[in-house]
Amino acid sequence: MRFGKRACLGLMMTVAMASLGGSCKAKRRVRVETVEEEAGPMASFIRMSEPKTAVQLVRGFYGLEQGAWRWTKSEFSVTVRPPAAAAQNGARLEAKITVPDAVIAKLGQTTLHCVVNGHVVEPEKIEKAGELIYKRDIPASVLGGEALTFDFRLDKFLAAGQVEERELGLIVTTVGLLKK
Amino acid sequence: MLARLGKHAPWLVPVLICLFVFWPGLVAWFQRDDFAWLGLRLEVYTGADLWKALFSPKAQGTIRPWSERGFFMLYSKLFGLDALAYRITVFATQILAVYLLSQVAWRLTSSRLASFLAPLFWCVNASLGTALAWTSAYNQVMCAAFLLGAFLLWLRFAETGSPGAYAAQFAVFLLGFGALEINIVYPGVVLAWCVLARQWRRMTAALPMAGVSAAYFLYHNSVAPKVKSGPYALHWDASIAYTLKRYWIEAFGGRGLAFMELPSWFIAYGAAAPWIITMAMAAFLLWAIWRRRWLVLFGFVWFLATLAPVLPLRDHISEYYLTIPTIGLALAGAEAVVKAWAWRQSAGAAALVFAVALYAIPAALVGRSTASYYRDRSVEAERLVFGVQRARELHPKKAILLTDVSDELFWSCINDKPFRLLSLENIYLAPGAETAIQENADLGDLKSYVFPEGQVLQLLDAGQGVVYSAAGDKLRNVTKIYLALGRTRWKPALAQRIEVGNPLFAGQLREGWYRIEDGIRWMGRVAAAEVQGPSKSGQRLTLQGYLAKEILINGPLKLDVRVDEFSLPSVILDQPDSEFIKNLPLPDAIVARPRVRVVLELDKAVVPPGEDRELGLLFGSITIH
Repeated sequence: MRFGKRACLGLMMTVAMASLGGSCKAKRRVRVETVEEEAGPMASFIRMSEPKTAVQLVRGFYGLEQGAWRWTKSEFSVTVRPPAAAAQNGARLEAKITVPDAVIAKLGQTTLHCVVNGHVVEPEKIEKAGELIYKRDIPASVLGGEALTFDFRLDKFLAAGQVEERELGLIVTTVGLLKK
Repeated sequence: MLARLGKHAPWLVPVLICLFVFWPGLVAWFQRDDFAWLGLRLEVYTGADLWKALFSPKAQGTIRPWSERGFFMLYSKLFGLDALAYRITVFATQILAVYLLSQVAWRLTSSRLASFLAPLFWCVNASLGTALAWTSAYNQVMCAAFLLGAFLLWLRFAETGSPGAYAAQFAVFLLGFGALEINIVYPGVVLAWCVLARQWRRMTAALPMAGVSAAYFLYHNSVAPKVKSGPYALHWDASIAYTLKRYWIEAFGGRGLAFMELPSWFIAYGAAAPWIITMAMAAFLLWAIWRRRWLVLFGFVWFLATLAPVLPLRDHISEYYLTIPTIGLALAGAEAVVKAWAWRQSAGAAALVFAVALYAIPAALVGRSTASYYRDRSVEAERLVFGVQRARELHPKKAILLTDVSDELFWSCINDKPFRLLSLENIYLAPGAETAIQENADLGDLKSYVFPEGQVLQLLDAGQGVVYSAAGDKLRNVTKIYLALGRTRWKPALAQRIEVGNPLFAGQLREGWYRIEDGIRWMGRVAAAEVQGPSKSGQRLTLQGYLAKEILINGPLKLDVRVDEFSLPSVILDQPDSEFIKNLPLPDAIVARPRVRVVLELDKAVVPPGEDRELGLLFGSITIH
């Protein structure tokens, strides 16, 4: 009997707490504002930590991790605006990459290829884990127009299911064009 | 006052520790299956619908009217998408279960220390991280409360012989089936107790419950689909032993430290801890058998009995399945410490330190981390859903395309269609956004959420759509920059998927369709549409729609489908008031055609009473994929 009374009391308290929790919150309707500002010009250089430029990671980048970097798939693309005077002086493609131990342990080595506007950028053979700056000069002749898409491709990568459910390529922190 | 509080300490202190460890679960929002359950109410129009929604078996033959369907339907009616009320209820149920466990431990052992330690050990178990942070896992917590409540009443009946206690425990047992199927093992637990406690004469009282469980088993077997492959396939082989071993080790939580950012020595310590505890538990088990302390074995029996139903699920090992079984290990652990204490106080103190260091601390850390993970994931989903709601307020007539959606956010939120809960329509992934997401056919069809890339420039140029990036804390309108990017990437083309009832795709419909009605369209006897041809060999045409029973008044329908000059196999439609999804093979000859004409022709159509139109099928969608 005592147990029954306690159970009833507990039930009533639960309903009361749930109602209180619900009604209190219902009064302050959840409202999440959006950012409606006008988009500025496209960026030339992209930091993964900057949400404004995420839209320029047009293909093959996974979600931001630890506010700083993203895993890529085996193929990934980024679109950037050529920096000022690039059509005359050329520009430098620079990508800050981390090669995780697991990639080298499983694959031995891999090669990073890149193509922009039909121009084949000199590839990078990756044989050891750690940080890597992929730095290449891009001739002025391919840097015309308002936007350029760099298509990257790895010849070896961690297939989906090999380490985790996702297909994994490299870790990228920054990528883009810099003035020469 | 202090004396009263002291009397309740055996369960109040574990409750406070539980709240402290799993606090993130209290402030979590919704995710994954939650959205499906929240949407259940939208399918209920009549009393019959309500009955079906509450009690008809769903995937894997589950029913669970109290812990899932009724719970979500009632609370979504009362509180909408305000998760706090749901979370308070889950935690209140957990508090009730902790209280019941303390009482059960007291009645089993007559030890105040055991009635404190058993709930304490359970309250830090890592498996609660999911059960107390994901609302769809409420069934675990509720079922634990039902099992413990019924068993406590059984113990009272066994002590007093009270028919009232017996009837009450029988009623609680029956109600437990509405929480979770695991409830089926309860008579086994009771019978095991009768054997271990040498209460032979009480065994006959358990037999009616065994009959109920047997009947439930037969019913469940008859309605559950016979799954031969995939995660829910049952494996009655040696893998059961392997699965048991995995659950046993996971039950102590320490291995989960490997997924946290901690010093390597501590991770190694966490990995070793379950094995050390295993040795200690084995020693305790052998001691109990040697000394014929049979009731001491009850905790182990509870663990095995409540875990048994999921052991054949070799490919679906989920740590929250341990929520109920670990009650047994908590009882066994508490009993071990109590016995050590009774032997020598120093031995008891050492056992307690051992349990806290090797089990409680690693398990609580892992449990907290799991609850935080669920909380964080749900908060991301909350931001997205309410962000889209705000975007809809700002752009009431436009399609909303989302880009920079992470793999996790897609599969934990968008895939379970949360936007319909706020009546938000025309929400898509922007073309290209799908490349950041790993396809997973078991979970859903990623491509069906993507707005057709060949149509996106037209949509945005016409001012009929906006693009938002989900990369930051707030949704960011990136329409202009996306459009600039899109001009370098997408070429105008027909869509391969037409939502027939969506005005955005009306441009691809040809003759034979009526006006849009609530997101769908009727076709007459013949209707046509144009889509982009298959991009590669082996693709299929999928027709999805609804067959109203009024249309079957003259018997089954025969649907002939032509794609350009080719006739596809005819389809017979005869299931009234049901959705149809038909996949038809496409000829290789039409691969890469930029435009193909799909003609749908029924052998008959009807003019239902009160209608002046000749009606055929309700569509749906037409997709090449």
